[in-house]
Amino acid sequence: MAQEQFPLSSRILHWTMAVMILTMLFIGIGMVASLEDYHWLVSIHKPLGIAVLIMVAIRLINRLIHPAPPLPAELPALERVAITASIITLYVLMFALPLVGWAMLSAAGYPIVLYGPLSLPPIAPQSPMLYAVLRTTHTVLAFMLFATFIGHFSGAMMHALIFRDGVFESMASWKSRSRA
Amino acid sequence: MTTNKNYLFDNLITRIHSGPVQWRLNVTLGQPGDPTNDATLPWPADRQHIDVGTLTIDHIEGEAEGACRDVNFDPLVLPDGIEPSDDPLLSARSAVYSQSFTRREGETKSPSAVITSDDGKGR
Repeated sequence: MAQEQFPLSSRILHWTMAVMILTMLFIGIGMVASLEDYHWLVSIHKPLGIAVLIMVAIRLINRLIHPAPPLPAELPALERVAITASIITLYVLMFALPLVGWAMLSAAGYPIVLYGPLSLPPIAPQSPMLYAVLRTTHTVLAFMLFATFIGHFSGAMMHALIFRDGVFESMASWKSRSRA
Repeated sequence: MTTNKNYLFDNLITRIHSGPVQWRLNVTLGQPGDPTNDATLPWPADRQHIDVGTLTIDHIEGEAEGACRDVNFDPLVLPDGIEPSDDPLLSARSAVYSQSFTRREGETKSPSAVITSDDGKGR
């Protein structure tokens, strides 16, 4: 049975965000471990994080307009639950990480500079303890996103290489196929 | 030998209570080619110096009244009109101050260990 493909808008959003988020995760890990490179990495991390927030909002609207194609009927129920749960987790984290980052800088009283004179208003009250909690939360959520990404990637590879049921190609193929 | 671990604080508090403490702010104007990315390399001695002002401190506040505990003295949080140089120390300080700020902010807040005024509640 031919697996229906994701619409082009969904595929473009998926792969653009995949690159952005992987870049963000590695910049995040890199910047907290670096000294000389800290400043320019932070300078990328903040506007890129806000870009992810904007993109995920567009993506959620896109998904509500164009729902994901149905999974193959022969897929076991447990795997369906796992896929749905991981997709929901990814969406929640894509919203939560930039928002927690933004709130964390607000609570610390930092200026939230995007580029040059362009900066964002605070979204949380200035509070030392709140900052400390949000800063830890940001790290924990980032590791959760990394773990969920690895699960997502592993699942995609299982479908691509072992099951070969068209689920991977429904997102990964650039060739437009006629809908079944 | 001193037995008081706060003696540097106490000396400064005593000094300021007996009169303002002042620092002169001197700016050295670099020339093209002067190294800005290595603080260990001195500039030639004939560079122009400008005395741009005097910082006067006439009273002092500790954690109890002031905002010194919950501030990150990040050298890269700059006002408009001041740009960072390519000195790698700025980024390194920004990185480690961010770490220390985070750890400090998460601590349980205890009363100030240093009392900056004679009566303990005012300037």
